[in-house]
Amino acid sequence: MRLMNEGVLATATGERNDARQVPVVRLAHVSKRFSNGTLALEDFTFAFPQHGFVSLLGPSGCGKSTILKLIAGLNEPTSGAIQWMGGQSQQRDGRRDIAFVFQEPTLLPWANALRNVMIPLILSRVPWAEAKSRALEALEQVGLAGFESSYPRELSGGMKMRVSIARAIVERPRVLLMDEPFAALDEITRFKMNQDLLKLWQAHEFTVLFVTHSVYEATYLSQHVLIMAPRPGRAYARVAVEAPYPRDEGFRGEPLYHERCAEISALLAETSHG
Amino acid sequence: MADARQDIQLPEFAWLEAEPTMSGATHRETEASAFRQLMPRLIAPMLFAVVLFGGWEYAIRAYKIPFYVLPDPLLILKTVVADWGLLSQSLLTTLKVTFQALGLAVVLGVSLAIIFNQFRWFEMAVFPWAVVLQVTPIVSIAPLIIIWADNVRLALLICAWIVAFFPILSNTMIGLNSIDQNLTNLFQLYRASRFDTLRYLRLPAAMPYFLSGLRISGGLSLIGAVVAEFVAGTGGQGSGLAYRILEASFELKIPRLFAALFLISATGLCIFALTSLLSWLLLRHWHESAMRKER
Ligand SMILES: Nc1ncnc2c1ncn2[C@@H]1O[C@H](COP(=O)(O)OP(=O)(O)OP(=O)(O)O)[C@@H](O)[C@H]1O
Ligand SMILES: [Mg+2]
Repeated sequence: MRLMNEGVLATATGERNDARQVPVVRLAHVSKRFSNGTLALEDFTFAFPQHGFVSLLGPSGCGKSTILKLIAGLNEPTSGAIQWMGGQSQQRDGRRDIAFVFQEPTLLPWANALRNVMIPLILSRVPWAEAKSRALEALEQVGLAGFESSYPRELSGGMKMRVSIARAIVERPRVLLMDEPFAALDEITRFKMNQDLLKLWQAHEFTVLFVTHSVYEATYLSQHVLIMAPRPGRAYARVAVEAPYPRDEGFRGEPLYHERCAEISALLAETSHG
Repeated sequence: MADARQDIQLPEFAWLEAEPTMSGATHRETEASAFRQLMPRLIAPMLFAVVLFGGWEYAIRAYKIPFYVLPDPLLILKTVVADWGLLSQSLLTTLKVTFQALGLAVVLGVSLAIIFNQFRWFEMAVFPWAVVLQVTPIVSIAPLIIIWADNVRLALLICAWIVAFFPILSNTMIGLNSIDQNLTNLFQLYRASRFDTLRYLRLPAAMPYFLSGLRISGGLSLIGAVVAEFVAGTGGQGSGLAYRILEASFELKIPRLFAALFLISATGLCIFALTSLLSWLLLRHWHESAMRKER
């Protein structure tokens, strides 16, 4: 019953706006075998809705990071296709297709926060003054105004993560890939970052693909939670979290939230144990 | 209820209340620790020098060692001053050769490292020969170079360069390749060109490695310049400090020999201090090697 293949399109519920449920990127029967013979993904099919917020949840090693890397073009699928709506292009009306937030902040240690955020703009030849003002704006959006000239060494783990997020949103990507971005943060900071992320998402209207190991984080943030089965990785179940946005901390106390958390936990246990 | 809790916690508070008097002491302690940090860096070597040179001076007076066997430190300093006209000329020559060689080593070492990094086949073809050049003792090839090069100055420069070149090359090569996998992915995601990746990722990442190579090469280029001049053994106008040593030993002007030796050591020390300072200036914001440990 739960097993499904076509992603959210057929049964979308609780979307912000039904007319918008067009896929931005679709993985069709994607398999990935690494050169050492590991079959990381097998016949994975899923369509990620435009402007949607989808979380990937699954046991360690089930191929979540692999999916993000395939979408980002950092790895090639062994078979199957990755289809972009309207074809993929690097830049479109000043927007980049994809931004990636890695599990580690992945900042240039020799550059201060401002320069780190400017890097994508510098690489796409945005004029210096414009790049600078956009980077400052992005830093402000992640709550780091005043820390432009701090070096990564001088920032806390959470602040570094914010710089990394500012760098990802500075080019207003269509798709934001996030691989366990808050895994290393304390819970209070994580809650705060969750809030901020939702705000950014609503302001910028990008599509978010969010990998996490936390059922609660996934439920709190997402419109859809995709649960994956391991060895080889494939889509196992999808759970929609129909609560409207903006969601605030109060949502964590609502019955719907607890129901979904329980449901997702059960599914996760199911896939993890065979 | 609240009272009971306070009762239980009272001993704990007593502990905490001892704190202010302690923090008064910590202030003095930070000053003391600043002193303790400076101590090994600056004062210790100076103290050691005082002991060493004092002992030397004393031993020479006590055992009446003649100055043509071993001059005392004061005499050496006096000779430096007295022969400054001659010695400063030679110092200038040695400095010129050393810094020209170092400059050449930096330019060619870094360029070659970049070319190796960009064209692997070229690295495979050429790098082994750079190693051959490095492992061949400079004294054994210096005579050849002196024969081939049509003036001594050029020969000295080539010798000093050969010695100084390799640490910069090999360190920069390692640096250009030591990049975090995630950062590589990031630049790939941004479709950065090869040139941009070099400029914004590889070169800055290589900087600490290059600088540690530079510190080694600074000393080596001086050694190369001195050794080559020894081998050449020709003097005359504008000869360097090494020739002054040779000359002084032939003429048994032992204090002058030591004066020249002193200048060479001082030069080496200055080069090391300069390259260390440069390294600290460039890396202080981000690299572990230049960070002061927070206490
Ligand atoms: N470069 C690689 N070479 C070979 N095998 C790999 C490589 N990258 C990942 N794998 C394998 O592919 C499988 C999926 O890896 P992936 O990193 O996508 O898992 P994940 O779901 O992100 O796990 P985690 O939750 O622990 O991050 C794992 O079995 C892993 O060993
Ligand atoms: Mg992963």
